[in-house]
Amino acid sequence: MANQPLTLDELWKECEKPFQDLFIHLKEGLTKEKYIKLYTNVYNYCSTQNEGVLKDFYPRISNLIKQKAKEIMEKADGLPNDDLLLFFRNKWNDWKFSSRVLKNLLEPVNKIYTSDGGKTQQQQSSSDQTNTSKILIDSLNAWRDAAFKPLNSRLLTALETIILKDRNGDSTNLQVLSDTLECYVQLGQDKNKLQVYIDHFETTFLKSTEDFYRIESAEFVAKNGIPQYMKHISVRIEQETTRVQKFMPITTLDKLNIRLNETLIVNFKDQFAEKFLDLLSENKNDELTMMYNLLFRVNHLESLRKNLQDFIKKEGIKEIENDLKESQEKPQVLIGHLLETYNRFNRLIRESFSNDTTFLAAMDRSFAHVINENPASYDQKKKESTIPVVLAKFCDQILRKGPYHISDEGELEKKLAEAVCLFKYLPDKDIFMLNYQKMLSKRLVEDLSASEDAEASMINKLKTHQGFDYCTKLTRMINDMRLCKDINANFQTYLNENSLTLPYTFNFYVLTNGSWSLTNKTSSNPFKPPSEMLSSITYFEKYYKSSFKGRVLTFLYDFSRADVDSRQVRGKIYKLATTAYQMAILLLLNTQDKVTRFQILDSIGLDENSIRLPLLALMKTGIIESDKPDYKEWNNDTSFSINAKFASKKMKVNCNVAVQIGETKTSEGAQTVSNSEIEKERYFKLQAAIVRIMKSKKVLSHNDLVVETTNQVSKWFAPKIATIKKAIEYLIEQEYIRRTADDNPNQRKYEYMA
Amino acid sequence: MVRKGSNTTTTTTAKSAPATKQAESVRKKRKNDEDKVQPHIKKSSSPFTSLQMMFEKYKDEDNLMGPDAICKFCFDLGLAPESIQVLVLAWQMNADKMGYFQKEEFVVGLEKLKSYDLVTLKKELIQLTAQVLGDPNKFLELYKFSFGYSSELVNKKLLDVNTAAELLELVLPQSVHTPNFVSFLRSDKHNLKVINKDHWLCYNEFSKTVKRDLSNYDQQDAWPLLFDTFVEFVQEQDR
Repeated sequence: MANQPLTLDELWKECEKPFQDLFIHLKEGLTKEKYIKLYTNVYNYCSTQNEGVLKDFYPRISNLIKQKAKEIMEKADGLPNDDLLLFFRNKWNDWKFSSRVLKNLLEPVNKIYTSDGGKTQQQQSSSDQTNTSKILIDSLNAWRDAAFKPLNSRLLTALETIILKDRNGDSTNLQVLSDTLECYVQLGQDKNKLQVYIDHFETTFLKSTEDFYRIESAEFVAKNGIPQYMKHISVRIEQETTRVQKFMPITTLDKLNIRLNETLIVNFKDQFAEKFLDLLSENKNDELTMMYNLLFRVNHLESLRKNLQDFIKKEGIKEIENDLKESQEKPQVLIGHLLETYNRFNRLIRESFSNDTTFLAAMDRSFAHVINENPASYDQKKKESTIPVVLAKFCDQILRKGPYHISDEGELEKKLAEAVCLFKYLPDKDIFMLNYQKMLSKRLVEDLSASEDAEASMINKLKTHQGFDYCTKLTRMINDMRLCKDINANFQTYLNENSLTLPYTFNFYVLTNGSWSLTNKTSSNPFKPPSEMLSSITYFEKYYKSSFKGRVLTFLYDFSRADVDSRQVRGKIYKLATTAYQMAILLLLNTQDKVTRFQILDSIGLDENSIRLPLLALMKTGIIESDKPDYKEWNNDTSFSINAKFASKKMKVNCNVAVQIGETKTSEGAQTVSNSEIEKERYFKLQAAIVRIMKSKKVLSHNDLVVETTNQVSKWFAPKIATIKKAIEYLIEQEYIRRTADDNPNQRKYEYMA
Repeated sequence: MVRKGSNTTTTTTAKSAPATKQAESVRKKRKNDEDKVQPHIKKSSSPFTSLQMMFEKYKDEDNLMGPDAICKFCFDLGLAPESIQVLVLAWQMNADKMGYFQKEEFVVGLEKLKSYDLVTLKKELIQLTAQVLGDPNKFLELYKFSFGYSSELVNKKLLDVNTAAELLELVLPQSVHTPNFVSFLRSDKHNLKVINKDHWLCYNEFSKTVKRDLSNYDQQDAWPLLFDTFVEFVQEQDR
């Protein structure tokens, strides 16, 4: 091969034809030998002719590119829009390829150009341009001038047509769209690559999309209604999103979404909200999910939330109103309805509203209203709700042996957990606690608790929610019961060691004073235990005092129970479950047929009022008779005798039954905690809180004290300002705190008096 | 100011007619003594003795002037027993119980006022009263004193509402709220029996800071509940 360098004209003669072919007859290709030869020639030329390359050789190439671009695009004239787009796209793909090959062939030229130009020309953009070649840029410019500029408006129309076709479901070539847009991006300036794309496609695209959907959605809603519309636009949004993701620069997606949201959803948000209530009442959960998701996109959930809140309130109340009488009478029924509402909407929010916390909060608000102000437990006049008591009763019923107890552990556990769910909404948690405590006392003492584990589990649940100190007394009660087992066992050992025997089986409960809300009712005369009981009591007292020095035992006969075998009917033995007082009365009838009231009072103590109930209950069960059935006529001579004709299907007879005295139905031990007890408790709690606060703060303003106090007791109840003031005044009177004497009355505070 | 003791059955103001023998005899005695003793006191050379003698003249028991004696004393002094000046006197004496002046209280009190005869005493009292009414701090002292002085209940911690009402009319007649508050205390609508010292002190505060139309009263402030009720009472009346 001749190593003689070629002159420019010689080189050009070699190059011109292949270069032209590269653009015009791309398909024919370039053989490897030819390619190498061309490359070598260019290389050799460039290595000798630095100046000439830039001045003479390159301009020829540049011209050639421009000319070829024009030549190619001449064929575009007269093509219909569809074909034009296809043509444009194909030619563009070819052009890209050709340019790249050319660029590779002219690599030496490019090197000179960049090294030389880099020095003299644009220093600042050199870092960007090191990778781009002058040849590619020029070919792109040639393409822009020859192809894009004259055609872009026609192209735009064609692109729009493609999209419209796609929207209408007609098959179309979206790849053309994608390639064309890629070309647009390529044509953009370095600094703002997308500018050409935005100016010549995106802006129009967004606007026409908006126009398209404005018309479509209005027509669709009018024709098919909101539920169908939601389905439709869910699909539409999906389609549009996929199209952008697949075929357009991704930056378009956000802009498009804004337009879609506005046109498809925000414009209809009022209609959505309106339909929302219908969907709720018809339980159309799928549609609700769809609506939530759509409005979530546009952050317009406020009206849904509000409507849902009202709806839950209405539905919850309605549920109870439909069954008002039962709900008022039976805790199981009322709590059942409340749980129904609770679970229903909890599920709805979980399944249809993605457990949205703001929706849950809305539900909390309305559900608190349903719980506390439902017609079954709310007294409009007194503005008081009995729901804390009802809930405590509900728990009592399922935890105690009896018809409502749930034997299945898992099921019981679930019910208890649900009860705690409702518990969270109570504003007066102290009322619940006082009642729960009282009922627990009775369950434990009367051995009516069905499961020790369930009791403990419930207490743990309450503890988790309200804190340890809320349940202190309950925990102590359970502990007492555990200790009692040991105490009774140890008592038995003690008896054995001392060779003592009891006439009857006895079981003692030793209960810490203060943890249990159990006290004997006041009676002018103390109860005198019958001799049958006496030895056991004396032994036990002796044993207990020797084991636990310094402790005082008080016997709560009001709560003592006895099992008595009755042979009052010939040939039959009835097992009577009685109270201690009833037993004492019955024992009197062991030795005589008749006793007068005077005799009863004389031998067992107590007073007229306190033996009325045991007697009436015994008469009601039919164990004894009286010469005066109406207790109002009783006097000291009234006599009571055994009913020898007593008959019962059951061998075991419960004698501690409720009887009607005056207006109220009573059995021993009142059912619920009275208002005055609650008021008293609250007053103490307030005073204790105020003293605690003042002791730590020393000086505090009235407002701060009220706020702090409210905070401290809010775990238990919501105090009235007036009650707090009353407690403050009481403490001033008792000289725990005083008012400071400041000249400015607004600055006056309370001060702790040590 | 002197009110009847809770155990006596007669009114003890000078104006009222005597109803028991004891009161009658006091009256007679006073008539007889008037001419003889009064000039004697004036002439007395030792101030201390003159005070003692003055006390001797009025006392009705050893070392004690009871309600009747005080009435007579006031009469001679020329001031009504239920006047504020007499309350000021009791305050100066630091008298423990209304209607009763101990000898020591009497002597110390008058000594403090540097008054050794009735004329000077009257002048001093009128002057001091005017001064006290014009000085909020001094007034507060008098005001505080009057509660304990008048209280006959539970270690002087409570004051029955009627006494409180009379007392307020005497010490705070200038307050725009007093007429209403007095009728509030006396109305049996709220079943009020007593007020405590805190209430009493707060009323002074109330009369100073709360506007006539009660517009700046705020239940959220530290006022005792009694005042909430009072404000409601007034607003109901106005309606």
